[in-house]
Amino acid sequence: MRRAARLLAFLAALLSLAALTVPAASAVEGQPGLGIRLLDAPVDRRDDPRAQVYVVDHLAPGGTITRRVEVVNGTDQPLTARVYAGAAQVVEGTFSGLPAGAPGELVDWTTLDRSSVTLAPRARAVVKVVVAVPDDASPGERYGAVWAELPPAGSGVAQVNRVGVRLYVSVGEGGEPASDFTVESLQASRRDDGRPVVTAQVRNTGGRALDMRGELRLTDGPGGLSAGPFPATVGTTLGIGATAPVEVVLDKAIDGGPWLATITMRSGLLVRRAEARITFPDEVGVRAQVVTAEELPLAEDPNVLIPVAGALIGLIGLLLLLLLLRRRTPDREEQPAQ
Amino acid sequence: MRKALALGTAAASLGALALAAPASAAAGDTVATFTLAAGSNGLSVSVPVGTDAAPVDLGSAEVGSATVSGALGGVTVTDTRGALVAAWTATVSATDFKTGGGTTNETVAKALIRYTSNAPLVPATGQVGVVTPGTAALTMGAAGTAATFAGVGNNTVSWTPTLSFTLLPSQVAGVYKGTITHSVV
Repeated sequence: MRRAARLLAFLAALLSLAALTVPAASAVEGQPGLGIRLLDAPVDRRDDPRAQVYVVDHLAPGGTITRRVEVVNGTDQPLTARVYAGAAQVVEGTFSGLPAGAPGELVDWTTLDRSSVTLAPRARAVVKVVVAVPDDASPGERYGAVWAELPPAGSGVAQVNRVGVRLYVSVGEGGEPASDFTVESLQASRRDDGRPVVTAQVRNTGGRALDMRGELRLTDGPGGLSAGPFPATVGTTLGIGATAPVEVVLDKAIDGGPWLATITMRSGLLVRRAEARITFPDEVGVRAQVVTAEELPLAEDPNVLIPVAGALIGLIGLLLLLLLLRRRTPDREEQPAQ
Repeated sequence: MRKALALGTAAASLGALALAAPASAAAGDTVATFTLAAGSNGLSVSVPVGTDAAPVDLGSAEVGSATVSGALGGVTVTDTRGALVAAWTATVSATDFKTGGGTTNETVAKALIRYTSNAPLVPATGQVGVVTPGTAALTMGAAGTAATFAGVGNNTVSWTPTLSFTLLPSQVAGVYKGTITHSVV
């Protein structure tokens, strides 16, 4: 009876925690318009923040994935939006959609269950997106977007606004290609407006595009000062094999240094840290020397810690088991002799 | 007792080894999905101003002038995905602007159109992130970046772009028509 009560209390606590994690209503008041958002994410990417806003997946040739997107009319007028899949590319640190009709493999593989959506004021509609990879598709990552497009407005300069959900679809037999990146170097500089900037060169060394975010900490500064964490100016989409700068702009009040700068860069669940000693130049518009960043061990990375710890515990457990089993057999042999 | 210990150790080591298996995405069909929280408007872009009855007028110029420029209708991007990785890129592309029959002198090629986003450099109060406006006077020969946002959580950015057309010395008089597309992804 007590056990049941305890279990119920535990379940109630879990449920209330779950309720807390539902995101609060947006406090941002923006001009309403045509909106689009992803409705489904794969269960095995539940913790990946990228998979909750973009369609991120890995398929074998011949595989199919289905996702739902929701198109929202945030205005007080009815509107009709055209929905379609378009090609996209990752160049120079930006994920950019190509014009409608531009060719792309992912466009050929993607079908939507409708081509236009008519929405009453404040109404929503769900569009089903199916990506079917043909059997003979070559391995590699493809980029695209599912667009909701407003009809052209105006007859002179017609303005077309469209909004989309990114598609990052990786194709290949077996498991997904590992994602990885390195922080190669750090460079301190001072902008024209006097604010110090730390620029990190990040190189994508893995097999999938990355959406970078991160933070910088300054420690061991003049008089033992530390500062941070400061968020990095990212939103950079790093293509496979590409290198892009990531900037962290600091307040003018930050001392020139020298500092030990530790930058933590993330993409999805991947984390990498690197550090270097930097000194901000006194003069504006000046860049100091580029310093090679030393990669820090991944002691804090749960994706490494848990499997390593688990493996060690497992090995020790197996050894103990073997020892126990060994000790039993000599006992049995002695008894008949007696 | 020994049996229980052996079984317990076996169970513990199996469990630990299971943890050691690296988390990897399932190859092939991803059947199991979960639904994301409802209620937000996702990533949205404003409806452009300007109708057939009241079109956006970029101004006019005397035949023989070198350029004509004017302000386009404002664009507002509202991101209410509440994402940990809140980032979007707004790119802009243009078509050639034509009048009459669309011959060389009746066309302003898109490479001669320049777009300046005038996006703010500082995010609005309460927003965590950075707006990066695209390069000023961006040539519209190919699609270019109008503005990007990178940060955390909900955000909204508005800008009123200006377009500038470089005219040919032999440009023909008329009302020129073309399309400017803003893509937010």
